[in-house]
Amino acid sequence: MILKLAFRNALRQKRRSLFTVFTMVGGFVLGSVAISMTYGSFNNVIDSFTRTSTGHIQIHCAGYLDKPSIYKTIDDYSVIGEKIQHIKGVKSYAPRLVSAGLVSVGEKSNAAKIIGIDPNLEDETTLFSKRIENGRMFTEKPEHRAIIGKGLAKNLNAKIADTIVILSQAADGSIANDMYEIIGIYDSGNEMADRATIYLNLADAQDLFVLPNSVHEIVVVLSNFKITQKVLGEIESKLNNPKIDIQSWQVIAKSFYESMEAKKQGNYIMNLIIILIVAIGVFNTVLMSVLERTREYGLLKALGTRPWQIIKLVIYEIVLLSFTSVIIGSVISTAANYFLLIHGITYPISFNIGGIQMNKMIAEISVRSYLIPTIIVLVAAFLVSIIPALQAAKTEPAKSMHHL
Amino acid sequence: MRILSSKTIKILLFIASISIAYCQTKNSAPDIETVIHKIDNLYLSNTSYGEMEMEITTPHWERTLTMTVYTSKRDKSFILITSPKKESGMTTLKIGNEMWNYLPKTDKVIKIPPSMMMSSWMGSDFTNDDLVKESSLLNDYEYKFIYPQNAVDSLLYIQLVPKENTATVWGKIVVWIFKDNYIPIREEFYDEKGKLLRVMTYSEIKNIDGRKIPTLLEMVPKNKEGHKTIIRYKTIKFDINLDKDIFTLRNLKKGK
Repeated sequence: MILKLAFRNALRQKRRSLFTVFTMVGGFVLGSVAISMTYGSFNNVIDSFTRTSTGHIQIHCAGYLDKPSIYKTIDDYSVIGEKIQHIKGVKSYAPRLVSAGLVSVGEKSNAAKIIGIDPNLEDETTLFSKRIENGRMFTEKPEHRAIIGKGLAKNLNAKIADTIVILSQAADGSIANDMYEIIGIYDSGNEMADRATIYLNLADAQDLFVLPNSVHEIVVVLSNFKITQKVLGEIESKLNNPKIDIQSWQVIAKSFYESMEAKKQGNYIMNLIIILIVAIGVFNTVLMSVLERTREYGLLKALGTRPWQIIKLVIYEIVLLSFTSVIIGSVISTAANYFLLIHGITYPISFNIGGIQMNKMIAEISVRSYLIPTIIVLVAAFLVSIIPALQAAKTEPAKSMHHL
Repeated sequence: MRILSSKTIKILLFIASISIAYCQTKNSAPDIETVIHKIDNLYLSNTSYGEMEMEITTPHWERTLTMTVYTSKRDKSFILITSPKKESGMTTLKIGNEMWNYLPKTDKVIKIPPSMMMSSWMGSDFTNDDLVKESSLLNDYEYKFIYPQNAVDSLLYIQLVPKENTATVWGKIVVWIFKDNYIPIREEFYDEKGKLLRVMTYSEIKNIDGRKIPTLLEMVPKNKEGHKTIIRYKTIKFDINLDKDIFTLRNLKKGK
């Protein structure tokens, strides 16, 4: 009976109800888009960062990350690779040899990180060749070729087909020195890294550093970075080797991870403000629509309606309206989020997070971006309807009807 | 006072001085300069030609280099690595306190900057500085005999402390020498805080080209566990005629 009454109440004053719904839908969409944009852009940054450089999981010789050394190698990397390849969620893996040295072209020289990569596996894992701005990728066979970072090329004044000399210390204590022909200029999107990185074919690098069949790092990329911890545990139990460290990108790229977390914290506050605005909007509309009807409630009371029945009536009406709003809001939000997922919002000025160039905000559609606004709208509507409901229940028939 | 006339005093002084001198010879402490001069010039001559083997051991790897070494007095030397194949043809030239390495594979001449002087030469436990060191113990160090508690009778012990303006990283060097031929047996290198950093031992004394010299040098750094470098002289010839062009940058690339 009360529900029916509430339903009729809502429909009776179509304009008022529409207005209330309108406010709540607006709030819902605002909240939903804000949340999906926030998470979308963060996840987008994390995804492109991890996919292009660190991978989601890295495997090293124990203690390598704390104190890297040319001697801390993984010698059975293809065996490890084979094993992890079959774990669910693992997209691919790439072995890398990492060292440092002096590189020079002509008279100019620079200190640089030297990374030996397996052309096929690296390409499969981090889509390496997609970021070669100029030139080409390594062929499978080692042929004394090098791909150098964009910034490094600029510093050394180097062009494609120039000869680059690497000077370093090999694992057998001898002076590692050799010449390579530059075949590509690489733009990882991380300017700082590109200023001091040179890539060699893994076999060439193993030869240069006298580390036959050894690597320092195995990079693992997953189908989705959100399953990192789960897959990490599986790799750990499958390899079960105390001599190697298995770490997630949160550990490897600690400063990046921490800056992302800090930015997320900042955005929580932003979202909180949006939520507050939505709640106040709902509160205002609901309060007005109840107060407007003080006389009606007075009449109801005069006819012998119990106060709690009136409370129920008001709350039912609001909940009914807010459910309608959530449904309409979801439809509109999906459309908006989908649009932003595809097109994004281009920033007026691109900026750099953890070395990744950001120029677009991209939305993400997830349960979260619907669940949170739904809860906000329902809870806000419910909470704010309590006050006017109590108000209505307290109405003294004589007094309120006096104004009739 | 009257009993001790000036004449008696003179006589007493004379006796005293004689007895002191006598005691010294009895202790058989030789002239320290002579000993140090001998150490300084152990392998030195106007010119020399030598073939040696350098065996480097570390916890991670072992490697043996063979090389040909030419020297001219104290100030010039030229080293050509002859094996292993990977490193053969690498040369090092030292003139005065300047030093260059040449890498044939990349055709690079590298001048060793002063900051690299204490770095290892070719991955060994000898530093670049050890090779170019021009300083002579006699001129650049304060020296004295010392008598350690567990001293061996047949040995002499000399402590050398660098003079104020000597450029060196060592705070103190202690050399053990055979009493009878002044050939060193052990050299200890300490830092400024008195901590032992490395020990060089000399052994396998042989008569080569008219000289008695240790032909096996073993350098053991005390701050790096498991590291050791051994130099073994295969042949050595002193005072031979050497082409002056050997000690030139041009020859560095030619590798003689």
